[in-house]
Amino acid sequence: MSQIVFAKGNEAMAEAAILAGCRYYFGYPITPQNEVPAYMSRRMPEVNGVFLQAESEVAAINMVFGAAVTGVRAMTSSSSPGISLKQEGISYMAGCELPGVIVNVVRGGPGLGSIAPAQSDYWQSTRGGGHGDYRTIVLAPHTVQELVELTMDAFDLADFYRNPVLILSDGLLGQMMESVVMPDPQERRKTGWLAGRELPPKTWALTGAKGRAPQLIRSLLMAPGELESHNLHLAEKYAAIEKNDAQAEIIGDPNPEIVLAAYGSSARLAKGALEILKAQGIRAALFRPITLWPFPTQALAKLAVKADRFLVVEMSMGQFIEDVQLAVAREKSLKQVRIELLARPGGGIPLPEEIAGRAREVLA
Amino acid sequence: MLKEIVIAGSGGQGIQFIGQLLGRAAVRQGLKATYVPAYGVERRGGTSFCSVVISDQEIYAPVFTQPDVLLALDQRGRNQYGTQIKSTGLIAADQDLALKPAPRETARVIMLPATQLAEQVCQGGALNLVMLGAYVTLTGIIQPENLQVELKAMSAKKPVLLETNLEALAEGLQWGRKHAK
Repeated sequence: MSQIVFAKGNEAMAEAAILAGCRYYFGYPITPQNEVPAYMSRRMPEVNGVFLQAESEVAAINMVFGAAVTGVRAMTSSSSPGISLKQEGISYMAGCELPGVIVNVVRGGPGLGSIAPAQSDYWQSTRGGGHGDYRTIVLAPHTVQELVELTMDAFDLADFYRNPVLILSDGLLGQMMESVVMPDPQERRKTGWLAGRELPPKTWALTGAKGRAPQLIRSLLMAPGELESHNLHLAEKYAAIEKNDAQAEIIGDPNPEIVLAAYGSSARLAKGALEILKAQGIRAALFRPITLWPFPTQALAKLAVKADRFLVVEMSMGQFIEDVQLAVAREKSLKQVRIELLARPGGGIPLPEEIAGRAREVLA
Repeated sequence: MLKEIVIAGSGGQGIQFIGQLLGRAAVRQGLKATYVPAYGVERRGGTSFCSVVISDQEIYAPVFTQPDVLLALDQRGRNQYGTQIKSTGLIAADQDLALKPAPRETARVIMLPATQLAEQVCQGGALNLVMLGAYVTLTGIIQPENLQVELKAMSAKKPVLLETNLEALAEGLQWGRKHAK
């Protein structure tokens, strides 16, 4: 299990899902995530699982819904335009409190956009995407290794909270190959994200009513007050997720003059910038949210106590920066700080030298 | 040590195959490596390239910033990337398919008879492996055994090609050894 493999992000992620016990994959082709269904079509039969290429993205997410209702681990994957099509189903899953994992290998938008890597689905991912008062847990890996680990965690988090979990990959992470150590899922359960927390039995699952009272799973709640109390219950759950499961990595100088803020592939490149800045004698730190929702507000607010210059790096035109501003504003007036944006939309990739150069400008 | 390597040629030449092979062999050798393909509307005869980064440290940028090496398997690939190679870098170009320098090329150039050597082994088919073999022994970046082991693993699905592939790689390795400074 601890063997190092040189693996493609999309394929390593698919294998991690299988190791995590996912036996139901439903999808529809779209670049740059096609290696996921291709891999699943080969591997699922080997583990007595189900691979099904649906007739559309809408069908695929509703198949995930249908499988999840029975208590099994199910997933789908797509890329940006396809994820837009799945939003209705994700909203229904959130309303019905169904666990499930959705992977978005983000490409440029709007519209059909391009097949190059991008991060322009930040708002869609963190602000609901579909209709109604709901939240999805959003995980943002920055290496293939982390993609594999968070995929395993995603299934546990989905089951623990009875909530859909979205993994935000991108065209770079999905297509690239690098060395990966495949974790043992049992070991990861014991020592990883949900260490010390038991997954609740799925007593709600629709498994046949023989010997027990019939159960109903639905999101249509028409009785007076019924939906309001359901939504208040959901809000309580979301508050617990925000309290317990916001995660971030903070590295670099403990007393930074400037904080770089980036997630996913941008954060990986920002780590390169951090090394360059360090070599130039500049005290810089990196704030890298691992969960985009819940946003690790407190971790960033703590950094804002020390620093008043921020450079937000994103492969989109200023979406992620809004959450950075909201978190910094917990600690300081936005008039006292300088929060700058390095945006590379539509397939542009911010390279470490470029990020370091902008950081020096922000400090000047 | 950090090497950014661009492999460029035409779809069907096995550009992506040797990119992956190089990455796997580097990892087998205990190094860090990343491989990023150019993907999209690639097809046989169209342009094809990939970016491989090899380092003994963590790799932050899996895409090239200032490439050190170009393996040019056709003229279009050399034209497109030749000028981007650092002046301290290396361009290894096939002497039949990538003969002409790109405008403002500044890197050291080594012309390889990869096509001709491949002709001897398999009617030109494994030119990619001749090229890769020559590159690794010219520079000493990867131990040939690591390439051979990974090539065997990658050819497992098509055992009929394994023999030819290994021979083509051996041709390249030998040429590189002979011409290494």
